[in-house]
Amino acid sequence: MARPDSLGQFEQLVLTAILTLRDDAYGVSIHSKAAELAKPRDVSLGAIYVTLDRLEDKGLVTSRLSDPRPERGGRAKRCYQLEALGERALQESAATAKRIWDVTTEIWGKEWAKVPRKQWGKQNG
Amino acid sequence: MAEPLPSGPSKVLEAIVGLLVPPACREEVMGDLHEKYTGPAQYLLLALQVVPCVIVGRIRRTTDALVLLTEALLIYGSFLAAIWYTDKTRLLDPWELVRLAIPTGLNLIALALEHAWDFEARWPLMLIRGGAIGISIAFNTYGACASLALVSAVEILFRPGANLPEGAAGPALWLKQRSQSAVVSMGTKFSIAVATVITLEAIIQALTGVRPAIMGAAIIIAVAVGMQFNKSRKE
Repeated sequence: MARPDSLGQFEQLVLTAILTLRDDAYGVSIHSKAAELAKPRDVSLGAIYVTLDRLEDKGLVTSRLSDPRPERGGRAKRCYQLEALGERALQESAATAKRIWDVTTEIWGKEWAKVPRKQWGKQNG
Repeated sequence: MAEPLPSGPSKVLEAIVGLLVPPACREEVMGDLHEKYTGPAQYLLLALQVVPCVIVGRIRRTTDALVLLTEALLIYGSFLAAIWYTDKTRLLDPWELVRLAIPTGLNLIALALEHAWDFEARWPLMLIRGGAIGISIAFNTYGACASLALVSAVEILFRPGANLPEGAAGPALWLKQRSQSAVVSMGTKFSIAVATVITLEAIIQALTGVRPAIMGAAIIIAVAVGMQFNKSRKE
């Protein structure tokens, strides 16, 4: 099986958003989910389009056009789906993030690990 | 009773923004912008933020860096050769070499946009391309002619990715490979036609001593733009 390219942080966010949204992963919904995951940083819709194009070029996701919707002015959505290669790339990224988390927690202590969690809790309301 | 549909941006505003979005991704981008609409100012601000990214993304997808670099070298080389042929003393000025980058850069921008939009029936792009060619001709007629002919040859050999929304289920790389056998684009045909006309005029100039080249080329470009405009109106 082909080894996927390593992912950038923003690519990880977008892939995670697609994974979470499943069948409803399109521009607007991916943007909302990625913005939620990226807090407190802002995420622009334009950056989402550029990243989706790049992920599609890498073969990590595929897209298809849905039926036109009246709430979109009679236009179709481009729905994205995670491919096997994309899932594998995301799994590798998650495993790396987990290893970094484990090592930093071990060195800086368990008290440090609680601080970011508390901060995230506050930011997410 | 059915619920009233949510209000959206005005048709004029959508048409203006739609013109700036490359056709290959217009459907979904315009739909997303429509869905996020809360007011005209917000819509414009969002469009200003999104459209440049979409254009850059599309250019990245449709433009092959190696082909573009080849075209840049060919255009620059054509102008350099033309100046060498007509007036070698100009090359003694180092700024002349820098000035040659102006038509090269303009033509490259026009080519990248042409690939991103897919040149067919896009008359505003015809104006951009026409403008780039016009400036190139004003800069150096022979250089413009040679660069157009060489770039057209490269475009025919390495056809850029075309708009194939029906095949969007496959990765873009596959779409690019699939589109290699596509027909010669309108832009390439236009470039070849202009190059032919300028060559003929250069021959007339050499034989008769009259300099109709710039004027004649300008007329040809104006006629081509007019024809394209008429065609797009009929469509």
